[in-house]
Amino acid sequence: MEKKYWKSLEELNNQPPTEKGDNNTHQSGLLEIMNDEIAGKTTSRRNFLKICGYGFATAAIASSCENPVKKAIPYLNKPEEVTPGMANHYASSYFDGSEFSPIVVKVRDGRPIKIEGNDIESLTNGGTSARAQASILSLYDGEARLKTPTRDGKATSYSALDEAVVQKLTNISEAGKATALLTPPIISPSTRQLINEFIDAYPGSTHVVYEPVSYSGMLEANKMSFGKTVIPDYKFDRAEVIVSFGADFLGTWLSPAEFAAAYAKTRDLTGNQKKLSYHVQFETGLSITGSKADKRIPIKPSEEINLLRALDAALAQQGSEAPAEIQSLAHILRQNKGKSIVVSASNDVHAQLLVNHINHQLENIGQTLDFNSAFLTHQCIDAEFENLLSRIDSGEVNGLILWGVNPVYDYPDTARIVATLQKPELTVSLSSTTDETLAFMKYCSPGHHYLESWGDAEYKQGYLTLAQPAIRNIYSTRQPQDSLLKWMGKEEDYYTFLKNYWLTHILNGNEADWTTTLQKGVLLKSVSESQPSFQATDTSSIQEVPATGGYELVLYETIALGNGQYANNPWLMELPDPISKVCWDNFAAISPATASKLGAVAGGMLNIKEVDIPVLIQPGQAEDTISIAVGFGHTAMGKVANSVGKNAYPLIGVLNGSRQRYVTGITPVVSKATYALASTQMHHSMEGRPIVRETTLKEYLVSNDAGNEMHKEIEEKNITLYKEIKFEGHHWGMAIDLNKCTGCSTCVISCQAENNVPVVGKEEVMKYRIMQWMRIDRYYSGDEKNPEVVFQPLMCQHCDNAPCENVCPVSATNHSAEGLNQIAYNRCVGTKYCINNCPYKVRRFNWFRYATNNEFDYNMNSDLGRMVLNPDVTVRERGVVEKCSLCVQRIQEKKLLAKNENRLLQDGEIQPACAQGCPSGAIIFGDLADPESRISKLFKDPRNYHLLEDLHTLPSVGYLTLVKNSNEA
Amino acid sequence: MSQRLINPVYKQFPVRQIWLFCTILMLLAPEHARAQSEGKKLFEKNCSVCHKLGGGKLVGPELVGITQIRDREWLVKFIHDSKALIESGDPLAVQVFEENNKIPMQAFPNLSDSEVNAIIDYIDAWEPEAEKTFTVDVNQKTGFTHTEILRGERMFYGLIPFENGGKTACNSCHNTVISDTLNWSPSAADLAQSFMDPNGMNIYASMAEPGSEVMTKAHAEYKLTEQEVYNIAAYLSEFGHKGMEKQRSFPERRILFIVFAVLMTLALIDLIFTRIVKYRFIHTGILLIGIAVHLNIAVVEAQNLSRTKDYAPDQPIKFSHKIHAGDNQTDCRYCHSIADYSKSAGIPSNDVCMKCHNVVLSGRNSGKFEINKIYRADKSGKPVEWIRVYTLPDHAFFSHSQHVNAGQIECETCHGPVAEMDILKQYTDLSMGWCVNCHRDTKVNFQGNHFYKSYKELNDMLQSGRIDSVTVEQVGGIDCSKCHY
Repeated sequence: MEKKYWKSLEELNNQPPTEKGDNNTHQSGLLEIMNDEIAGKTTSRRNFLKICGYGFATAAIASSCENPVKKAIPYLNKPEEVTPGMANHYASSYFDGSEFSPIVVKVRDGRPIKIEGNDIESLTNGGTSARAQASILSLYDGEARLKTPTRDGKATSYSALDEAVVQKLTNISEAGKATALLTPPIISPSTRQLINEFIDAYPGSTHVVYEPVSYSGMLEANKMSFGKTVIPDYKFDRAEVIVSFGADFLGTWLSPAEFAAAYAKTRDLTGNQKKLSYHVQFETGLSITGSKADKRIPIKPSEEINLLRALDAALAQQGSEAPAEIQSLAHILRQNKGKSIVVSASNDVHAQLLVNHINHQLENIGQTLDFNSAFLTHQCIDAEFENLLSRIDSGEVNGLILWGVNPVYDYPDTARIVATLQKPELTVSLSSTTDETLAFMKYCSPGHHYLESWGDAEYKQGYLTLAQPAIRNIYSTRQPQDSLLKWMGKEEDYYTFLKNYWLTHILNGNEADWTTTLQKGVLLKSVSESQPSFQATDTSSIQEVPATGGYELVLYETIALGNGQYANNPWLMELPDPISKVCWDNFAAISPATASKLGAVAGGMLNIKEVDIPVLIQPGQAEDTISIAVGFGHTAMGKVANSVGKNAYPLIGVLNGSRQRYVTGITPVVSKATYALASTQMHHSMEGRPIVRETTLKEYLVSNDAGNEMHKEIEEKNITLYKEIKFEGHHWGMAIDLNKCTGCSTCVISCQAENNVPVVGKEEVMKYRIMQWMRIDRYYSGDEKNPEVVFQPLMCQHCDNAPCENVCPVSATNHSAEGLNQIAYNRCVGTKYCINNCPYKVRRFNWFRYATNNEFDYNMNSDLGRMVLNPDVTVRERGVVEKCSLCVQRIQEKKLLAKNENRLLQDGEIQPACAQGCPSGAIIFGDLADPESRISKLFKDPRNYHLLEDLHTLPSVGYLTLVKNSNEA
Repeated sequence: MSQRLINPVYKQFPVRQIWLFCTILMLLAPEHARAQSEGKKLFEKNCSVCHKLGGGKLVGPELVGITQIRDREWLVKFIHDSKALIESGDPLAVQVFEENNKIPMQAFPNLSDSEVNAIIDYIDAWEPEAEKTFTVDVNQKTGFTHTEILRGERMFYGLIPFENGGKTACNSCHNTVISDTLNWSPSAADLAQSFMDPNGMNIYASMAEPGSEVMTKAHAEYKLTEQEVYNIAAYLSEFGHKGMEKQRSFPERRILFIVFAVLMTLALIDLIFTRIVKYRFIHTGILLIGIAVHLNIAVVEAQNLSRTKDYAPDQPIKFSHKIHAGDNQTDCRYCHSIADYSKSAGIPSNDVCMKCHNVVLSGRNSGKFEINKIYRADKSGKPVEWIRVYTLPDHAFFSHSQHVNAGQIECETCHGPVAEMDILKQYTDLSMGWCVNCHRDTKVNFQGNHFYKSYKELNDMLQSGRIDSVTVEQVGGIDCSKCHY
């Protein structure tokens, strides 16, 4: 039976789309930008002649003008490692307070322009997350970045600031009071050492870790069960059964880029492997992890603990009273002892104790849960933070140093935190960007961006990395570690401190190893302790939670904004959420049934706890639940972040000293207000054609071309009168494995960074003018209560028989000898015929001069923001069409390298930005003319098909049929 | 210009007395001075690359006071052939060899004994130079009266003769307007800049004692008095603020355009209203020729729009490719070293110039003046701002590495006979037609480079003799996306 795919509820129910693009987009767009005077008048013949006359006159003057004198200013003394026109790559580390990536920074003529994953060590395979990719833009955020040290909001000098702070620190210490250092998790071993020395220098000081979305429940449960306050490493690549309770481990939970790589290995059918892992997801809102699951069960957040109890009981003894679903799951898990993973994202200690017990029962400890490489990226214990607040309130802590945390924004009880922050005698911020908390700080010693900083990290035990500056600090900032060293009265700078620390504690004094590690970025030190023994805690006392009436509200992090600290990053703001396809807003996601129960409609708003939030009707959302993303609704972060969406943190309170993720007993009211969300949802719909091909593992094992039978048929029918197109030398192509793609959208940002793709803003997105060259199409199938979801990354298909090419009146777009569908921007006159004729709708039109137009005040219109642009890629002018070029600049670069080295190109040497960033390795690029290349083999795979291949467009991009393991249960 | 302020030391120092003292000294000991100057010349020519007088070790050891600790005879032997002396086992020579990181000193067999002695005499008598006292704050506008400036200007233009002779006016060599003829002498603006720069030249010192042969020759007839130099400095300071004026070229084409426009208008008026000329073919002829001329101008102008063939701007340093690449046979890639592997050929950084000009202190056309600009840049930390000659638009990607290294194209193919150009000019129009034509005709090193092994069909055709070479076009060289992305 063929599945019916649908992209939105309107499509499923045959209704017209709710968000109609303005039919007169052309005109209204002009009206907005042009001044009203011209727009209001009709042009008369007289005016026309005037303009003509003026035009001729200016043309005459312009033609007699001289060309401007351009200067070529060389270095005075050229640094040995810098070559104009050539990029340098520096290994470094990305850590945003929760997620870590080893990275390589591409630096061109002294300015970092691109982040790539470090593939020297195989943990992440060079994959990164969308946020790591976009973090480079924050470096050039001239608005949010702090520029000088301040005292009471007024600029001051570092010497004056240091003097005042040291004086206060000494006073506090001498008065027997304490100073607290409040930081995000510190995974840098040298910084931990530095903080300890700071505490010694000012006795009584404490160090408290704060995270907006904490893993406190998990840490405490692990302390009880295993005696260690760490999070074990989850080896998803070794798991054959994965059961997740709300953990979006492919999107936002713990270390998604790394997990996606491991997870993809268990979903890989391109090699000899003929099996798939079995993945069950219990969750409230639809996440990308839930979308990839073989079986997804929508639950209310309050039900989680009951289900865990039932599963725990069912594993302990067969034939318990658990529901049949849990029974059969327990049965499968029992068959896969030591080869399964059960995880939960709950911040409830009880839930995590149950999870630990379940994993213990399944003998997973030491197998799929490895404590030897435990995660150190989460260290916040909620109770410790609460304790700090009360110590400040009592006057016991009289000094507060904040470093990279923003509790005024992300602590649930804003009034409480604001009152508390005003109490200490000394409040210093070491943040690098402006935020809501900064206004309550007396002093600010602004920190560097991480790309300007030295550092090290141990995000997992034994996995050590270094970070080095890729650019000199742009503003008069100072690395927080340097500030602390200064305030301790030490003369050395942090670089010396760091190097000494590594030489004494890690490298045994071997100077050469320091240089090597700095070059490679990564140092693996194997830790081989025995796994901790499981200490049983009495889980039987955990009571079943009685079903509550009313609605439940759950908070989640989005792939783009995470916990909200990068909200001022326009690339991330405009990244459509892979599930809802909404950007530039957060919303209250409710299921269709809940919507009709409440009387809510798309485009309307819900009033939850006095806050109006736009409604999004989300298929797959659990009944009677509402999901809202955190990270939005900033008030003091910058023009991009401010007043976009609503801040969801205050919607949930603190319960028994721990910050909850959900709350029960909510009574949402349908508000009278309406609100339009910018969604890419109904864009580019491919009406009812076999775009996504899908099958089940069972059918695939019977026949390798299951679900893709039509490919062979169409290939046979594909005959042409014309001569077959032949490619001499190279024929570039790309294969996308739908099994591996998780929808994480890293490729979208990676492409945007590489190819100078502009940000257009919410208004333009609503007019379907988003410029991203890559998009991730998402299709639903089946029941709207719990649909199945597939992701399909889509970029220019580089058709060998391209419909766009032969309609171009000026031949601006045509085919290259290497199979690329190319555009000469300067030749394009903007007829947009090609856009109309492209069946894949991948071409984008430059409606405006985004790079210089101040209406698009994102990054391209300022000198600083433009520093991120890739000098090898043209910045497109208004009125021309653009689209994916398969990163032709990278192809040319590697071809030249091979020519200069007098050798053949290696397969896999060329990596377009999307393939390079992809954490799961779903995108493979290569030469179709080489029969031995990976891509040629994938194109022969029976799973391979092309989009709309019946149109005989002969795309150079292939997709591998999605195979789900759905019928094993 | 305010950063160029220096202390007005001149007014406080007894310049005249010191000058007098020096002059008397020189008069008293002419013989000694000549020997000294010969020794100095020889030292600078042969020794100064490795030895410095005063200020410690360079490559070789400090030589001040060497005559006190070493026997003169031994020194002569050592200078003639240090290696032989070391090999002969002379303990002192071996010791010196060991002390200096076992870097042997170059042998000087061509120096006569008397020449070596002259060098030793020079070292013996060397004394650190007295601090230069000839400084004047020429930048300080208030320091000069209007009369002083005017007087200086007239002297510069040759309107007032110099006291001690010198007929040719300064401005006949030192341009005061921008001109397109080759002139190796520094322009007035250049002079002003150099004198006003704290790291630059001192006008008194250089007028009194020309630094180079070129200048000595050119200034042979000029013995300016101090007052005259002061006046010229006053004028130059004023000039430095004003800047150079550009010589206007005659706008032939524009005049042609206007003349024909007027003629055609007149012809039209006469044709329709006045009817003075009876023969209509005259009107028609004027109109036809006029339209042809206008169209021609329009087409030529349009084609040349933003094309700059033959562009040869004045560079901030009178750098001659003819001397460097032509006469001295310096390889292009010695200075433009990154052309091999980068897209850009690279304007050499100042330190590249310094590699040679550490030793080459004086040029054959411009003396020390132009070379001094390198040292000034080095001292002030401000790189030389060269004028870019070859400019491609941003939407065209060009890689030197691709052409020079992979394609083995000679630099001259695109840049023309650079080795014959004193002033570099744009040799080609850099139009797309020019690029594409070359890609059509140029043969690639198909069988020599292993990269092309993947081009199976072309390889087969070559082997079977169906084609004898492969052009750039055949391997996709005229695809849009080869240059535009």
